[in-house]
Order: sequence, then structure tokens, then C-alpha cells
Amino acid sequence: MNLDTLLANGEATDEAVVEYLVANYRTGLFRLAASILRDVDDAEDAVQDTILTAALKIDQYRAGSNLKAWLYTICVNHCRMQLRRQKRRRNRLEQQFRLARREPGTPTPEQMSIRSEANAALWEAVGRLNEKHRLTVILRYAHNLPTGEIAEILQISDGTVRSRLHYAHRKLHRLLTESTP
Amino acid sequence: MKPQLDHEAVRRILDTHGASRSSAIEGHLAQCAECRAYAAMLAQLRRRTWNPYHEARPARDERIVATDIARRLRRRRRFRWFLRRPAGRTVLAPVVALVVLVAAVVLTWRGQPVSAPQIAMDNVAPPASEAALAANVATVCDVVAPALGATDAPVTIIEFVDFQCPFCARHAAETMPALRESLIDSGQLRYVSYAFPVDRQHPEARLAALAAHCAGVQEAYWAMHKRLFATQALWSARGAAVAGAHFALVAAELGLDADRFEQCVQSQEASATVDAQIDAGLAYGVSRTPSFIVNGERLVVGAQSMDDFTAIVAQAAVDAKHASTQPFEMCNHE
Repeated sequence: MNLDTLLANGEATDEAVVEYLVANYRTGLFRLAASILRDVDDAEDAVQDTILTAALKIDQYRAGSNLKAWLYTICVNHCRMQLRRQKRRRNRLEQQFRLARREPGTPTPEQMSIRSEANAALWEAVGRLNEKHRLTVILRYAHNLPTGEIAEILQISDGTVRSRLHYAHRKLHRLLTESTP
Repeated sequence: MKPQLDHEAVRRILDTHGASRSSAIEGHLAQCAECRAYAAMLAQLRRRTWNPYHEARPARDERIVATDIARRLRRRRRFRWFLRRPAGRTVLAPVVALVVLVAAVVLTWRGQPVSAPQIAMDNVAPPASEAALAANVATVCDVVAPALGATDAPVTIIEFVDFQCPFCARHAAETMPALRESLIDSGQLRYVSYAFPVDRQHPEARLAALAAHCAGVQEAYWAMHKRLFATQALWSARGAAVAGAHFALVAAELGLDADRFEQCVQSQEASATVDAQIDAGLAYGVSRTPSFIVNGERLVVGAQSMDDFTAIVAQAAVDAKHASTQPFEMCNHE
């Protein structure tokens, strides 16, 4: 049963909505939040806040509209607030290293993926983009979303998404070229 | 014969069409190592393996999370319901009044200009020892910073500002024009500006400091300084995206080269300069903004009136007559 059916049947109690959103969207939202915040604990918190906000504002959801895009918009806004709370990029990096070291026996997702130096360099370069370009790159490539959906999530025009991607590609290329010996 | 594609055209096509390429593109890539690297980077981006979280899963138990969210949701709904009732409003009104009162007291305490006797007693730190002074001056002198006024002026004041701080904005709007007219332009005062973003309170202040520095690289620091403070309400506390867009707009209004400005804001050099300015302030014990170092000897904390500045500069000029050298004579202030 999807959310539209729950709403149409009058079965959309708070518990039912929360259960539905957790079961169907939690993992996707977590991957999005973790990619933006680079911190799994902050990502878990952002996902919980996202689902809580969505459940509180469920009356603003229009049946038949893009639920995923709506949830991603809320999640991106929560992540932005979380980023503002984090002090400086330097502190975030310190936290990242701390997280990467905290379970020496179990490889973190980060350690598992950053086996290749090229992947590590690209991940680092994406982290050096400014917020608006980084979010666009993460939504486009890490989450494989079309530009129209990214425009909906970030509440900007399709043309702006393309222009941000265009800029981000050049910036990433420059960063990677500079870092290559 | 078809004209050969240039790098920019090839990259635009690669941006749009990804893996599906024409023979003309393939021909260009065969000969151009840089565009091959660009195409490889795009292919790598599309593979998604660069993102360490592309297959990550949340660790907390799904049922516990759902229960926790539902509990928070019930609490929120109860609170909202309570606030809609007359009893809720009765409770809320004094709480809001108390919060407003506390905020007003804190703001007044932080920003109120103090009178001259108070400056002498409270807001001016005592002169540092000679050794400490020499160390502090050396720290400050290492930093490149924008300056106004004659290099041989008897008094140098370094301001430490946070572009998101309302008291700094008030200093810039109300005191700075008079300071410039009566003391700086008359050759009595050299006035240097250092950024001191207080990130904990003002998340966009560092970005503003970078924008001001980068405007300075294109000889427009003071124009940007004025505009950032004058338009503070438009960008402050609205998030990095809004602030960044606003700064780019101001840069465009000031006629700056947009690409140079953007590159500069994101550069390590700009970040290092702002860090060096913060470190210089910390060396002098700056912890609030605006703060001012007078002739390398005295720290004045908080926004001051023009009368206060006149008295401070007059006293510093008298003290300077007895000194053999000016502490900031050889500094990198431009």
C-alpha cells in the first residue's frame, strides 16, 4: 500500500505514515544525507528529522505528486541546517577521520569505497566544491537523479542545474588536474 | 573540411551526451590528453563508486527509529495543540517576554557604545609588555591586509570585524564615515581592516570575510566592506547559498571579474589569509567584534562613538611622540 492509498482511505495515521516513510525511503534519504554531511551519525539524525517534518506536514503533500522529490527537498534543507551548525570544513574533516578510525576491525563504508586512489581523489575534490555545486553533483551523480528532479528538489530552474553541473565539472577537473603530480 | 572542435566545445558535448560520442569527439579525444582526462572524470562520476556512501545503510534498527519518530511526532502535536488553547497562550506569553528581555539585555551589553571614562577603565586592555608587544606586532605584520590613510600617520588602528555582526555594521554605517573624514583623510590615522569571523554565532561570516578579501585582490576591499555591512539584513542568517549568491551579485555590481572573484573565494590562499587575520586577533586577545588595536599597544573592545575614537587617537599620538619607531611601520598593510 502506498501513501496515496493510505491518504485516500483515511488510514494515514501518524504511526502509519511514519512506518511507511521509514520502510520505503529511509535508506535513500540516509545515503543522500551521508553524502552531503559526510558523517553517518549526523545523517541518521537528519533522516529522522526529515521523516518527522514530512509526517507533520503531510497535509501539504499533494496526492500523485513526486513524494521522493518532496522528501529529498526536506532532507536537503535539514542537511543545510546541519552544515551550518558544523563549524568549519576543517572540523568536519577531523570528525571524518575520527569516524574512519573508531572501529579498527570493521571497515566503514568510506574505507571500503576509498580503495582506489582515484575514487578518494574525486570524493575529496567534490568535498571542496561550494555547497550549491556540491549538492547538485551529489544529487546528479551519487543519486543518479535527472536534472528536472534536481531542479524540483533544490527549487531552482532546470537551466540553473545544468549551469551548476557545467561549472562543477570544470572545477572538479581543475582540482583533480592540480592534485595529480 | 569540417573545422576542428576546440576543448570547450568538446567538454560541452561530453557534459550533455556522456558516453554516446560522435567520431569527431573520438578524434579529438585521441589527440588531446586533457580532454581524455575530462571524459574519464565524467565517466568516473557516473559510476558512483567515488561516493563512499553509495551503498551505505543506516545502522539503527528500523522499528526503533519508527517508534522514536512517532513518539517525537506525538509530542510535537500535543505541544501545538496546547499552544492553540487559551491556557497555552497564557503560559507562552511570559516565556516569550522573558526570552525577548534576555535577548535585549545581551544585545545591549554586547553592543552599547561606552563613554570615554568607561573605555579607560573597562574596554581598553593595559599595554602589553615590550616582549609580548614585539611578538604580537610580528604576528600582525605577517598578514597582508587592506589599509586606508597615510603610511606615515602617527597612529595606526587595526579593526577586527565580523561582517555578520550587527555592531560592526553599526560601526561601519555610523562611525566609519566620520572617522574617515576627520582622522584618516587628514593624515592623523592609518586604518587597517582584519577579518575576525565568529563562526559559532555567524555561520556566513567567514564566507563574507573571503568575499571582502577577494574584492580586495581586485582593489575593491573598502567598497565591498561598505556594501556587505549595508546589505547585511539581506544575507545574514539566510544560509551559505543565499549569502554566496548575494556576494557574487555585489561583486558584479562593483564591476569585479566574476571568474577571478569566484576562484579566489574558493582558494586556499584566501582561506589562509583570513585564518592569519584571525590568528593575529587571537594573539592580541580579541574575542569579540568589533575590536580595535591602537598602535599595536592597546586593545579596544566594542563599537565606539566618534568622540571616543578622537580621544583614543589623540592619546595614542601623544604616546607615539615618545616612541622611537612606529610598531606597524614595516607591515604588509596595503
